[in-house]
Amino acid sequence: MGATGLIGVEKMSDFSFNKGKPWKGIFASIGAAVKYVIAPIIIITIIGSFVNEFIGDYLEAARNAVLIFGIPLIVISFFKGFYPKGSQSRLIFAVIATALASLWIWFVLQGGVFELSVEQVSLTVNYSLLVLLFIFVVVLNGVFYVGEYFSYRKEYLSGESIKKGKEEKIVNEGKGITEKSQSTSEPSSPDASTDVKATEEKGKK
Amino acid sequence: MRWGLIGIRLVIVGVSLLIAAIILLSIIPLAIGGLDVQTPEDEEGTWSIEGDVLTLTTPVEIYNGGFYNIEDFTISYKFLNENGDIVIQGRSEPVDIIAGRTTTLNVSFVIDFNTIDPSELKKIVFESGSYDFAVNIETFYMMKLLKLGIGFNETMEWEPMVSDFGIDVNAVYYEINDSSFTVNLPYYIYISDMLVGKQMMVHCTISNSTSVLGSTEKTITLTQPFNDILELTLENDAANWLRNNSESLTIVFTLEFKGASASENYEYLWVPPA
Repeated sequence: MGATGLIGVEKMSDFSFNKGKPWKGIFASIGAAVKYVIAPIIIITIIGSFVNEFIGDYLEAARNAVLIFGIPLIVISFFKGFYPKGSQSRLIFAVIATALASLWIWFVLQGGVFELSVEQVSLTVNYSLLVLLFIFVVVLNGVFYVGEYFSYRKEYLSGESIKKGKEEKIVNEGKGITEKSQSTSEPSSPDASTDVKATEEKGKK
Repeated sequence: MRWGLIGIRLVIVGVSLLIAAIILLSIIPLAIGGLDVQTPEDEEGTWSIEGDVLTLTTPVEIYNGGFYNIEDFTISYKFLNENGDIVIQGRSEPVDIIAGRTTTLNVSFVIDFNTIDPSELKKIVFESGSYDFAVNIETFYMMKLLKLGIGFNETMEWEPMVSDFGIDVNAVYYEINDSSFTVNLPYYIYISDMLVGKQMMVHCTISNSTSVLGSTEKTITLTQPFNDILELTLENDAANWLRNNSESLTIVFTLEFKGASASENYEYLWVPPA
């Protein structure tokens, strides 16, 4: 019970606001804003200025989808950029961003079907396979973040433990307890302790 | 080095570049005039007849200046009556329009008389009217990533295949001898080229107010124009009566084609020979 509680505390700590860098989050948000809102709106407006008469409804629906899915993407991207590589928080926000980006593509491109009817002429373009290819790229991006999580996890945890150790050392030094600091500087998370042990074993070999 | 992550990044970049290349190679050549469709201006097409199947063939030249083949290009068409019921429909075989070449498509519109409902066939053969003509073009492009459908819908006036027919009542003559009484009915049929060479049944009855006095029928092969004489031999009793009495007669002249028929009625005042 106690161990489970500890794990829970450790996992929740990945979401701590102290662990992120706001400027990275802001950069990620700006990137997402440009990619998912500003550029698409400009493109839609340019297209609309030429052919709005015929495909006004289609463009309107696309513009709405850009805003509906783009604004949450900007918010999620902030947290994705805010949290460091290897943290569960970054992974979770990256997965949410991937899902949102997939929905963004699907709805902005109207599910890959374009229909136009002018008087006695009708035009249907089905490009859903192309849309699925776009989504495939976005999903690959999501896979990248999963890979990044596993790749940076050890570094993240050891960085956390070093940071923690430093903090505790400072606190203990302030209190005048220096001997105990060595034993408490080890990572409290079971994951982290395993990682450190694994590293030690490697070193021995 | 984190080779796994680099690998995923490279795959993402590769796939993105591939998609961008596919799209650019598809759109740019077509956008700068890489597609040209030429239809014959001076002629509407050529009619060919084989049995009961009429085929209108129109050559269409398509130049595909794009990077990819235009695949499975098919044309389907429908004639719909005023109720929206399909009278005639057909679909061409899928054809690939090769990139960088001009391909001539012989677009065929087929009318098979045997597949048309007699009531609709009657309208097509004997009556003028309007039909909705719907053409739909379907094709794939960009390595079948893109399916394109273009539809045209037009209401067209239909001229009947038999534009006029009837009996020249003023030219009716008869032959009387001791044993028979034959009425000769000159008739005419004006048809469109589509029916030239087709067989049609011609049927005629003569009746007074109480009974049918005689009837005849004949199978003819149509020409344009078609003129012929129908010989109608009267029943003995009727013949004997008409030798001495005048009578108001009704002549019903009927054409029948593949179960579809149309009639013309004439009032004829019979005056016995002096």
